[in-house]
Amino acid sequence: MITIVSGLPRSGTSLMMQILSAGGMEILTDNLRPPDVNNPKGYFEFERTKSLAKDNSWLEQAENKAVKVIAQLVKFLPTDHSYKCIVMDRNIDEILLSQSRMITALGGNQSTVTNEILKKTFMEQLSKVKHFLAANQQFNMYVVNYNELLSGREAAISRLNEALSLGLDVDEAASVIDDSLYRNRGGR
Amino acid sequence: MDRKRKLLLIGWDAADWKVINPLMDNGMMPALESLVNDGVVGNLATLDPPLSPMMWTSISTGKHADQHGILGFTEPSPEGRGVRPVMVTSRKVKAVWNILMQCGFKTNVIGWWPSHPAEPINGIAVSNFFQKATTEYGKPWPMAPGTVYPPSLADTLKEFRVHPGELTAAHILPFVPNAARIDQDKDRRLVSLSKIISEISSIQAVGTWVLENSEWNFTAIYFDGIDHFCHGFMRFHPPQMKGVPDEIFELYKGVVQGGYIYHDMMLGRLLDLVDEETTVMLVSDHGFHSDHLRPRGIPDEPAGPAWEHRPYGIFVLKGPGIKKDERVYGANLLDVAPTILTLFDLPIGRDMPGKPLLQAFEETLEISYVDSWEEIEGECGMHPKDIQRDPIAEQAAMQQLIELGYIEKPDENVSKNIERTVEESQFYLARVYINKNEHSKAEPLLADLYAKHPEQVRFSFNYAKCLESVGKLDEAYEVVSKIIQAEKKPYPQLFLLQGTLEYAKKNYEKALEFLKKAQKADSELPQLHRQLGFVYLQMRRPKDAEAAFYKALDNDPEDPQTHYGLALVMARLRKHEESAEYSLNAIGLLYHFPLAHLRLGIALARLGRYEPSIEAFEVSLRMAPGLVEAHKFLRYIYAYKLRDADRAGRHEEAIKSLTANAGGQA
Repeated sequence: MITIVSGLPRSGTSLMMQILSAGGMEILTDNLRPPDVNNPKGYFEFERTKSLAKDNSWLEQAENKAVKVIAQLVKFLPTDHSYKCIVMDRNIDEILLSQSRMITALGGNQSTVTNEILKKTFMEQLSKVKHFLAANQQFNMYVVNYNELLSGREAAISRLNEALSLGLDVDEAASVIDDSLYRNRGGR
Repeated sequence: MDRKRKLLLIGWDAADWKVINPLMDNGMMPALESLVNDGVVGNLATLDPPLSPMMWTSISTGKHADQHGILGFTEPSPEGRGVRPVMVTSRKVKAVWNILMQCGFKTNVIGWWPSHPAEPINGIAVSNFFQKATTEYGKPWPMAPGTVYPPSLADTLKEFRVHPGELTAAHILPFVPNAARIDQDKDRRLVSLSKIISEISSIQAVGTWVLENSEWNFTAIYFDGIDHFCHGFMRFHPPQMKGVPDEIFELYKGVVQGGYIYHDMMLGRLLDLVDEETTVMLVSDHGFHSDHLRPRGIPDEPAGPAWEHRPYGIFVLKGPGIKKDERVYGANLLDVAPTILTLFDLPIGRDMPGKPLLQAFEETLEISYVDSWEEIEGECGMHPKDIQRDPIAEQAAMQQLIELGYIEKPDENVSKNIERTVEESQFYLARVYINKNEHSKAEPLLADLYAKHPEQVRFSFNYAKCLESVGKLDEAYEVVSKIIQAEKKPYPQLFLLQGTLEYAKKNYEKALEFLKKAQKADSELPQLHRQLGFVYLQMRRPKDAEAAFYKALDNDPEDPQTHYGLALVMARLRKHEESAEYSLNAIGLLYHFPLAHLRLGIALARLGRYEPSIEAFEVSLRMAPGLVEAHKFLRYIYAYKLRDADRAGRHEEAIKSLTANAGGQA
């Protein structure tokens, strides 16, 4: 069984990886992307997931571990494995604001289309991913709302732990939630 | 609702009356002639940019490309891994066959561009991938998944495909009688000719099978052959163009004519398969220059061949309740879908900018409307929502993920291809906005393209024209200056643009200077004499203006702007009958032309024909509600000629409101 943490970039997937790690779950990361101002506690990423569409040979390494796979790549996960899939949900305006800030910090190019178009497209894509996960019996999906996670903490993690039988130490897991991480909201 | 109603819609890409008329006159297109004699005919004004997938989608949906979402020949493939031919899944709105199916009519669609993957309609759908030979002759030729709906018919229908390798001399010689003289190692034109013939033959074969073996109310069959014959061989069509060697001209001079005759033969068979109660509509998306207007060179740009397109396609309609041997005027591509809905007694969407061609019908019809067919739920045979996509938005989202470092960047060639495709779509969208007179929406798109590629003249040139249209004349001039600096030798089109800019700035002497320079460099430049006419008009030289407009008409007798220019000249010369006549000509060529309706109204008012002039003013105001001059004339007519104070008051109010909105300027 592989645990997948998914969602749109900047929806709280790194925070969920920290929670799982602190709660006692082994995670698959290569630490190639170091912590920075966008994710001061690290990204918990595994570089090879970026090319999941072409290469999934690394997936054996993820057995009984948690690995972060962004929503748009989830459909490339082979169906000969079973997965627990945690999908992070966050207010789309906050996500786009956070993405925009991250692109600026990375010195990248901002999108040429309007925020409204990006918003609509990302929301449609996430909705399709959720349908795909719900319809596919290899995936056991649980959706975590980022904002509720920050406000609910232990209670939210307990619900997740129970729903997917993750075996987490909830108190330890909740201890990583840092109020200062909840930024980029509504222009703050 | 008449469930027995049947309509056969046939699409001939690029068919043009200029080629057809002499062939019909010589008895060489008898099938089309029978349709023409028993029905109505007319020009079908195209839209800009005249690119076939966009146009055929506008024909089938009744909507502009910014509404329907098909923006060119290619699109980024899902996951941002490359570029692919444009797919029907990118169409955001219903085609007429979707609306008809939703209303209980049985529909078939064959070969429409784009129509892959075939839509799950209630009849038979064969996609535009059907006829493409993807392998060498003799090798297995599998059909792409999704080519036929219902899939259970795929095995039956694939047998109707004709591979170019199946053709023999008997198929080629009617087009190129001296084909044996051609060294095919050096001249590959026969290969492309075989491909065109085999592809349209495949469509004809499957189309006739569908007509014979299905129950239907609506069947649409699309042939791209004339467009391909013309792009490949129009430069060899008589009269011989300068620069075409005699030997090549002699070999290929009959291909275009042969292509039309072959289409007529296929049309004859299609007509044999329908009864007298079936309405037949034949349309083309644009024409194709076949005379002295053939461009001498094609620009080296992705849609360069579209420069050969003429802005008028053909429209023919024959059937029960349709007038016989008459002409319709002022039709454009967007009118096809509303006319089809009218034929089936269905309401027209208010979000469809076209109009039903009521002049084609024997009886006066009552038209009903719905706000939008998109809002009316029901099984319509479109692909499910999770398959429909917006490729440009998806590519933007994918690029965002790449910028964020969450998805691997594709290799450089793939990235460049995708980038180029997205930029092309952006450019075409900008041109759609310009075509709709929504220059302010086009401006940021062109500004972005110009910033990225100032060296690409088509971007900078259109950007300058767009800036001119939104009144940013100094910025437009700056862009033009940069083009001039970059070009080693200024070319006549640039002088023309400079002249147009000076005209917009009301520097008429200077405008004339640039236009004269353009005339000296190329006196046949399209739009040159027309622009000269407008400059002379402003300089109060109506006789010179008249001469310039007549010269423009010699060059292109079907340019609505030139007829409008002459309407202005005649008004200046106080020849109001003639002014009305030229206004009507302009409207006949391009119905959505508010200034021509306004000019018609003025001419009729001057002639004392107040009722029809009111109608003309009202049409102009429906098209352009901000036309203060129309309100002023209406106020005058109601107040002083018809003594209707109430209506005069309403127009007075409108003038006040518009004047206030314009910052005190009428």
